[in-house]
Amino acid sequence: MQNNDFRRAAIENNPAWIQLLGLCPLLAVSNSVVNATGLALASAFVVIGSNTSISLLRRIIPDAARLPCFVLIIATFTTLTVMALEAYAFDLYSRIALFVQIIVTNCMILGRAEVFASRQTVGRALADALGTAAGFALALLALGAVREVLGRGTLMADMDVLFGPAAASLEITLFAPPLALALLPPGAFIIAGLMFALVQSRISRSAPEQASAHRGDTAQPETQPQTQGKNP
Amino acid sequence: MPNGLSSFLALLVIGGLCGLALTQTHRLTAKPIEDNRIRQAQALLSELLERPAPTDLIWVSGVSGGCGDWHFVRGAINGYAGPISYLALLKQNTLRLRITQHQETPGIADFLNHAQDPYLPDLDDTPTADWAKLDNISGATITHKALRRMAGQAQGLVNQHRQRNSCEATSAE
Repeated sequence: MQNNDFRRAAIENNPAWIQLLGLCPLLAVSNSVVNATGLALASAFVVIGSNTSISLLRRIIPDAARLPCFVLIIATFTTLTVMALEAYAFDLYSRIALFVQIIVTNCMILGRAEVFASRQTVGRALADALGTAAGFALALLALGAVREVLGRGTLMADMDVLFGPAAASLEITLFAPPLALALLPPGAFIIAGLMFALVQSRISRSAPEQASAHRGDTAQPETQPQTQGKNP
Repeated sequence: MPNGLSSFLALLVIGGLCGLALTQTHRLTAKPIEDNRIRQAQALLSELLERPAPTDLIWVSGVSGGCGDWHFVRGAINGYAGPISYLALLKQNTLRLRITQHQETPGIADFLNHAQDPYLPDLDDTPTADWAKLDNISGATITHKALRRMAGQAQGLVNQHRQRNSCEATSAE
């Protein structure tokens, strides 16, 4: 059950690629892998913390005031994240502070709280939060990697601002930057649009296959008795 | 228990838990945050001065530097989307300016961010009087006007500071 919740939240209902939620920070911060990783970790902390807390408190949260309660809890986790980043990853904080602060308005997180966490057990809410966080991180990192490679010709540059001096050696220099546009906001829209189109085409291609496989599965019990009947 | 009262108590519990988490985290992070801010400010001062800035600067009404030939000035001028905070170094009638905080529109006011855009570093050591004659930036007229007013304000604050401290007339005036 919890594996299904994780898989559904991360892949089938991927918040960015399928539901197109949280696009503002996704497009703004994904100009490098390090920024994308920072925002992915911050969003993961907020969605996991808020989903778990809301599920734990679901019996005492008054129905009439549930949305203010959800926003209060999400805002608390967002502020905790901001304080932790400013204290322990100041260079990264200077780059992405604005977009960490607006996690509180991210409809992906409020949506999971309202639709799932407030109605399910802690275990299922946690699995859903992990899946949502993984799905959002996947989208952020994919977009960040493509934009950094095209715009700067590097991959995982400046990782030391997040993981300390030892991570500086993770940088891979590929080639001279071929497309500086990729780092700019229009480049973010174009690349994200192409990636969304790719994902949608994969889904629409796999959907008929799944449907036919599903039809095959359901048809089997009906045909089996006939063939069996024809056999001598 | 009446419904309203139970809702109120529930909100009180949730608010209390959130407040507790925030205050405890603040206690843990306040010191490193303060250290980081001081380190950043010190780095900016040293960048402007082109040598390690003194750590024992005394700020009076936004101006530091006593009666020496250079003064740091910090202040704020309203831009398009709110106050723009700045740090300036006035040295022998010339000005170096850096923006420390602003809420102007990203993309349009990027010239304020000296780490991203060379606009402000390129103007380093421009005579203070010439700042008022700078060409406007199309699309960011209010923001750029604020920048020009900062130069005037910084010079005015230094003049007041030197008069207040009965400093001898130097080239900084």
